[in-house]
Amino acid sequence: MNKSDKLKVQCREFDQPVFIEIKERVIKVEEILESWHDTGCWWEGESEKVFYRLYCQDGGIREIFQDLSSGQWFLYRIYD
Amino acid sequence: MDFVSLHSHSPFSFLDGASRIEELVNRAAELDMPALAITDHDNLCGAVKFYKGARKAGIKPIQGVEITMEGGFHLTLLARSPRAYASLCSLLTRSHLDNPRGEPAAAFTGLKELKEVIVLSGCRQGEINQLILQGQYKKACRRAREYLGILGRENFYIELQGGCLPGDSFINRRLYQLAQDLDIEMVASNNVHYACHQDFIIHDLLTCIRTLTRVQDIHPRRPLNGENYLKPTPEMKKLFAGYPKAVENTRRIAEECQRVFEDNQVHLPAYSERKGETSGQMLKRLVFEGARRRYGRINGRVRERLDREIEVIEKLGFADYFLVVADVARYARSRGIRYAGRGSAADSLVVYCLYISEVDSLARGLLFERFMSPERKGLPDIDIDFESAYRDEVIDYVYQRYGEERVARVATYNTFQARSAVRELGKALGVSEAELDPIAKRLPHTHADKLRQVLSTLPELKNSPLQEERFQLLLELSEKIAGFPRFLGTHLGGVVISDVPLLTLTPLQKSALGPIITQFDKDDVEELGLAKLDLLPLRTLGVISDAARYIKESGQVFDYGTIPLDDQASYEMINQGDTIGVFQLESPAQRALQSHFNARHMEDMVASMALIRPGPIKGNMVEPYIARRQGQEEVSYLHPRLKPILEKTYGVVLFQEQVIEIATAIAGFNPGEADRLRRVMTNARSEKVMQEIGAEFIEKAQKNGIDGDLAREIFACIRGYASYGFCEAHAAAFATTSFKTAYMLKHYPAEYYTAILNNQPMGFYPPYIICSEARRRGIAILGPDVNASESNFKTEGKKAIRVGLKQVRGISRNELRHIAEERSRGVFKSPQEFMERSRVNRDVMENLIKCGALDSLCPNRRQMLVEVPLWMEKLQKQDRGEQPLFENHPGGQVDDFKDWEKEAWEREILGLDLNSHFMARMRAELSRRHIYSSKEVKNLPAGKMVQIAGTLFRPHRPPTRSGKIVVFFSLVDEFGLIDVSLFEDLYMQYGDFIFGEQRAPLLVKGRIQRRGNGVSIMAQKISFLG
Repeated sequence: MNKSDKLKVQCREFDQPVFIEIKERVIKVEEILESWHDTGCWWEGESEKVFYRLYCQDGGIREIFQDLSSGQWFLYRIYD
Repeated sequence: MDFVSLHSHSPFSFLDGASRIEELVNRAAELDMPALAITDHDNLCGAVKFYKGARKAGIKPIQGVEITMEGGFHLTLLARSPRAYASLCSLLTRSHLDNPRGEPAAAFTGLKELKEVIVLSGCRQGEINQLILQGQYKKACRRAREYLGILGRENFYIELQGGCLPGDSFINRRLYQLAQDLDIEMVASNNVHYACHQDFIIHDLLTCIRTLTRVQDIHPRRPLNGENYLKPTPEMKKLFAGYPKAVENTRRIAEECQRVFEDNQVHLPAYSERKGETSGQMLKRLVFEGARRRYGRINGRVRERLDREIEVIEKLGFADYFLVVADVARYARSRGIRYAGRGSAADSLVVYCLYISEVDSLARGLLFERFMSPERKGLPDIDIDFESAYRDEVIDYVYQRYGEERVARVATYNTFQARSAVRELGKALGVSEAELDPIAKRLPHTHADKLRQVLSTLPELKNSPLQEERFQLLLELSEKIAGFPRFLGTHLGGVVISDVPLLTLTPLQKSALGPIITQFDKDDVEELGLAKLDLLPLRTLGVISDAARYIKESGQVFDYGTIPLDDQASYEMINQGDTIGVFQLESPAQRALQSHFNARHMEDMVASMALIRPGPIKGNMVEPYIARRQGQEEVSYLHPRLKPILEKTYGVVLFQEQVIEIATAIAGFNPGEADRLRRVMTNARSEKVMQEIGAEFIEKAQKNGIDGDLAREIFACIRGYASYGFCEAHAAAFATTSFKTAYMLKHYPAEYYTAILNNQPMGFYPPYIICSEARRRGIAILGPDVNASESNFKTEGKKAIRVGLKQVRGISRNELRHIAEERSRGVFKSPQEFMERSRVNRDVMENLIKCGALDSLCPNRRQMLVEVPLWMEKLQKQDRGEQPLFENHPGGQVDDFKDWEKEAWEREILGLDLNSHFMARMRAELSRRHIYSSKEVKNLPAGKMVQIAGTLFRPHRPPTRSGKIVVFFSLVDEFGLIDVSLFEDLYMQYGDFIFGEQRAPLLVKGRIQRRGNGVSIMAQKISFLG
């Protein structure tokens, strides 16, 4: 999994993202379309992640995830 | 409002539940859940254990099931009431019995029959969820309306799930919309598969085992995350923040669900034959009729005892149970099927007079209270052994008598043990089978949670790869799944009979072997109040019948029933420890005991049965008992009242019945209290319980006029011995059979050993050792012969046993039948003709040749083997009409095998030696090296240091009082067996030779030990014979 696109994410109650910051651009999250957890390859020591599919104010749909062991957020996928 | 988990899986979801029931209920209690539902896949196997566990944890058990519907869809069903539970059982039974085994599927129309059952729309595999995922919202609504129509609005809920999977938010939004559109209530669940988050790994690996995948593989059934744990209310509220009512409804449903099992319920079938006669009256009539046959005249003692027993039986409402068991025994007698009652039931004179057991409890002074008492709850348990070949006929009779809907076989749960856990989890973790197989094979048969213990203590495992760091996770996880059920099996002899159709009490399903089984094991069916009969197959009874038949066929007069129980020749043989093949007396420990026990009468036999058990051995009771019996140690009693109770066992508490008698005589316990004491002591209850009952004993003894210190001393004494005590009635039941088989072996060894060889597998020893013993007794073992052998072994005269053709590796029943049919038309005249007429396949033909079964037709085995392909070709051509009949091929063109080669073939193909053990061929060389045979050792003095060689047989490590390991094994050579023992320090050094791979016969150096007539070796050094 590509972890190069680190993000800053601001969350509200229940740790749900409300703003994401990509390349110094802050984007408001309009709606959380989906969220899920993925334990990954636990047998290889991979850490657990929580994913969100977001509908953002700029009209884009993005998937981001948080690595639960480090707390770091990453951009996972952008829908064209 | 608090959340209650209404959809949870236990290990009885068979590889889809990763936490034990007690872990689930304890976690639920920790989370302050007032209730918990267990909803395993298509079964209620865990229901009784869950009921007990939940009550212990202080939460309400809700019985449910996640049922598979036609089309593979899931539904979650919860029982509101006993009536609801019965309808769940019924629906599950139909879903199992109306479909192929292992593929249960409930019909949609079957849901109509549900009574007071709450139905949740199910997990992602639910039909409505599937339709929503496929984008068919309208169809989902239509289907939901159909569920509503069939179930009623008050019984049907839309199940929202919180598994944190991709798509969950979408599904839950649509389900919410559907619920709003159709005005259906919603309920939240987390589809729980384990108690805590960290147990996810176990669930994932169990899923790998279930789907035959490895952890690196991708499979749709593999869980994506570890979110299916029992979540606390705040977490569930967070997950379902948009649907608070769904969480609240869990509590509402939990409140609606009531317990479904009633305590102390009994479901005895009614037994009646005559109109106007109650079962109690009938029991009394049959018992006294039986008593008249047993005793001729019924004296006051017999009458008083029978009246008392019948009164208790009637008071407890068990008359029907005794009538049912007596009827089964009567059927067996009417069909000439040999049987023997066993266990504590033989404490009852009623059981004796109903001809269920042959133990006269009155004559033996046995206590009825050990078997039954008014103070003891629960059904009595009567076990009967039947000739194994006819046991199923007896079970068929039970089905016929009580109806198929009221009778079923009892299930057992095959569980993960050390070997299976390492094999299956190891495979799931990606370890190759080639690596796992030898690792698992070297493990002892032990529980999976004992793995680390055996790895740290057993020397043969000190080089096991499991010691390596890379296997630590495997060990940890193996321990966690220890005892998890793997699949349902059929109990060896348990049959339940009910007064009501069984499918209202337990779901039924097909077993792998064919019979219909309950979904509960023997303990659980008892908890449900079902009458259970243990109709066990005992091969020894088959041996007795077969041997009796062979004896009579040889023209000798024989009656098993009148075997004299004081036959001195038989006692002399027993006292030599020459008891290989004798029921219950053939193990090395029993043979060692008998060789210095000097048994003289049946009481000694009864004591023998009880002495060689793990308890008495571990409790160091054997030697004091023998010393007192032989007058080497004084027999004393702590109080005169103990003398009449313990006199027959030389002051030692050997039998459980004696504990009851002591408690009654010393402390004035009533029978129920005394039996409670017996159970506390024999079941190794907690120290606290032991102290409580001890205080009660001492207090009551003092009131009974016994000095306090003496009462304490008596209690300490019975406590010391009684935990190892054995049921005398059971010992007595076995002792008679044991002596009678010894008599048959002594006087009719050829017939008796033939019968043993024809009833394999049975007993302690395999055929090659039985044959070796037969040879030692002067009986020749004649090789198989297509013109002389039958399928089975048979006696030829008084001094020979002919090996049966069924012993030939690979031969089928059809081939055996065909050979017999052809031979009835005339003997075989040549190997070719045999092959043509018998039509055995090529492998079997070659095996018959190699083991000498065609020697009488052609003496050159190698020549025949060379010619088999030619014969085969000719036969095929002949079948196609291409060639005339065979021509006899001239023999002698190739040299035959050497004798040692022939013997090796015989051993491999027949599993036994025809002439002698292969070590006979080494004897000259062994003698030159001063290595003794088992025969020579028996003539040497005690203490002499010797070397002896033989093949290893049955190494084992029985429990010892000190906890130190002592290893026992036997060495086998051409003269028979010699027993060897080895202490812990040497075992640590040489364990690998004994429990590791056997690459050659063992060479043991050690000192000769003599006890009475017994000889054994105390090993000091072990190696392979080089």
